[in-house]
Amino acid sequence: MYGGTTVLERRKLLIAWLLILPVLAIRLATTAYPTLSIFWYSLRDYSFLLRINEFIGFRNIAYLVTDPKIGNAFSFTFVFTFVSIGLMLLGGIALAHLLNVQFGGRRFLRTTALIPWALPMIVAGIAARWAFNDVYGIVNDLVRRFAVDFRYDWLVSPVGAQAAIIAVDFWKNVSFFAILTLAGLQNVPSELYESAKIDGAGPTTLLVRITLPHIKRTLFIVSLFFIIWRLSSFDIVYAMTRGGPGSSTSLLAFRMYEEAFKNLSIGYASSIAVALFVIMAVAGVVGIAYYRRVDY
Amino acid sequence: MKKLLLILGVLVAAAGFVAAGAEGEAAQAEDVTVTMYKWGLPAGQDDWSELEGLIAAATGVDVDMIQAPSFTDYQTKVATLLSSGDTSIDLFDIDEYITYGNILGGFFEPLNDLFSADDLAAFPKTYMDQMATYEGNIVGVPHGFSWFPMYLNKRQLDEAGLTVPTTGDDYLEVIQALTKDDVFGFGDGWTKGYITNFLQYIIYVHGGDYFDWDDPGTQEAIKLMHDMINTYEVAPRAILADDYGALAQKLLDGKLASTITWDWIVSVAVGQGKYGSELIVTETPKWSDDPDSDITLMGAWLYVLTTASERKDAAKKVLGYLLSEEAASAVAKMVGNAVPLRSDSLEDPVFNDPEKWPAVPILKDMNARDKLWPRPMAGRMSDILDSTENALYEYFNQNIDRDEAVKRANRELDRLLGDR
Repeated sequence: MYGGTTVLERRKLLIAWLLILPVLAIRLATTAYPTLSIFWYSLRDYSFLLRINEFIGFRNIAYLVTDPKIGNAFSFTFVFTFVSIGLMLLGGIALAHLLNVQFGGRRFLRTTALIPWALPMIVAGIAARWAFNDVYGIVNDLVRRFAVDFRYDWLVSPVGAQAAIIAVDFWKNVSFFAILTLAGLQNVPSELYESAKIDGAGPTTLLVRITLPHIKRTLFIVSLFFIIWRLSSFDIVYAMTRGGPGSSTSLLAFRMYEEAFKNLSIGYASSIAVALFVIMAVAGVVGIAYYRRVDY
Repeated sequence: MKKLLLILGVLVAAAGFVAAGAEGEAAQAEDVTVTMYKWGLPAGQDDWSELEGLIAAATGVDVDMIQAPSFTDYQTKVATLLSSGDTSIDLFDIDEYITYGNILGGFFEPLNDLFSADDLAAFPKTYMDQMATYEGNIVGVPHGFSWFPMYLNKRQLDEAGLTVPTTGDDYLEVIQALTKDDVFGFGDGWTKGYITNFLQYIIYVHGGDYFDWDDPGTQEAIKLMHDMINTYEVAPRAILADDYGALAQKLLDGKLASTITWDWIVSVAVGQGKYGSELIVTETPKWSDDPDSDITLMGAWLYVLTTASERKDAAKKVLGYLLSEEAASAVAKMVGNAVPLRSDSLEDPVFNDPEKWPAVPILKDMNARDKLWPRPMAGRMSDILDSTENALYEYFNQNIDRDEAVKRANRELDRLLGDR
């Protein structure tokens, strides 16, 4: 015995560390190093175009706070994330219930519901750009079936373009949210519903008193992932609006891409990445802390 | 004696080895392969073996052409390769946006010695002076011609009893007259990243300066664009979201009666059999009596040689061939829907077939009169586009007035151009 650990145990520990060492090395090289580099670059005025690479401290971060394009991107990122999540919760729970009902063709419906989710976002985004076209788009065409004189240029006005992006994100991802919620629904014991019905509970009571409490842990963790994915969303805006009109649909990740790969301002793009990292880290930590406090 | 013979033998053998080595080096020099990184036209074309073969046959130099998967990827890689001093790529085929930033970085080899007087005379002077020359040195071989004609729906024009407008005022009257029912007199692709093309054209013809929004010509130009949507209502509001794909579709479907944009829609109209009966192109209208503003936009790509290249002599042979009349015609034919930039190559009978190239006579005439001007460029063009376009959208959507748009654009231009 040595310090409460036998020689054999210490050898086992050593071998274990040796075995995971390659994985750790790969992790360090592919995750820790790039992350630390981003932090380092965020402190530099590093531009491919201007051939500058010099230390400037926190000036990039200071400029972030005053840059109106970043202001717009922050604002739309939060609107996009939280409106999307709200819609996903409502639509996802409703769709999950529908997919949980016993009826012929349920498997077929469950499979087909996932088709939009399986499409690459770039494909869906380009198709959506045409779908919201004023002349050729299916969206206005459908609306005109009910309101003949309807004309609205979705992607011209900031609000219309933002609504279109949120709608496409909802259409594409709600089925995945619903399938994950469905997994939670299927774990709710059916006896609870039967007992409650005998006691005279209606559908609303069943939903509020039984279903939601039982699936809230599932909903919470799924929502947390969806929030983080939305915070880092890029491709939907890239394919649909390129951040326009103006910068009204620019998301933070898209702004970061524009700065890094179009303006070639690596330092400034890194500072946006750091800001996004901090936001996502806070969302993750707060989410996990609440998750541990949720019963069931 | 034996010693002498031995020494002689050793010397002969050594000389033989040296000679063999030199021969080997010479062979190696001839075997050199020059690499060219390109995006190029048309987008998506990735088989350049025919061009590689032509170059090898003409110069004896092998060229390995590497196609980038996407334009954004290409732009980033060019900047990274150049700023890192990479020597694996000798030649780049780049557009004006990429060119200008990197010209300022001093990454391109002067190519003055490649151009004869005849060569210089064959390329558009405005382009050579403003885009391919920096600090007195020619730094690129231009190719791939694009230009801005005026498109008109002939059927709608005839039905309205109107003639082809030749002045700006006539043009505005025509597009107002053609705006009726579900047809708009004017359309274009003014979505993000596209709108600046028309903006630069309209600023040019109003005698303004794209980099100075205090200029009365610039202000008049942006007011006209605003009024086309909001006052005259000759352009649909959707113009702000349309890209060139949507523009072409609407134009060919007769939803738009006219536009002033890049010439590529001509070949689409020809392909669909709509050129002549439905759609025609002509010279852009004269917007004022000032001959300096009687111009239209042109664009091209440039082959450039990096200063870091370790195969400059071989690479210059390649460029020497690519700038020739023969290569200019060959490349344009290969691409299929482009015309060559050299005026002598434009005389090739292939490009004078009115069925396939109906706009070439107009192009040649405008080119001969130096009416084609490249777009104004600066080092941080992408950033400038982003900022000025944001101000325009706010103005066109009537969220701010023109003075505020001008103020915002100038503030960003001051920041991005420094002391200009």
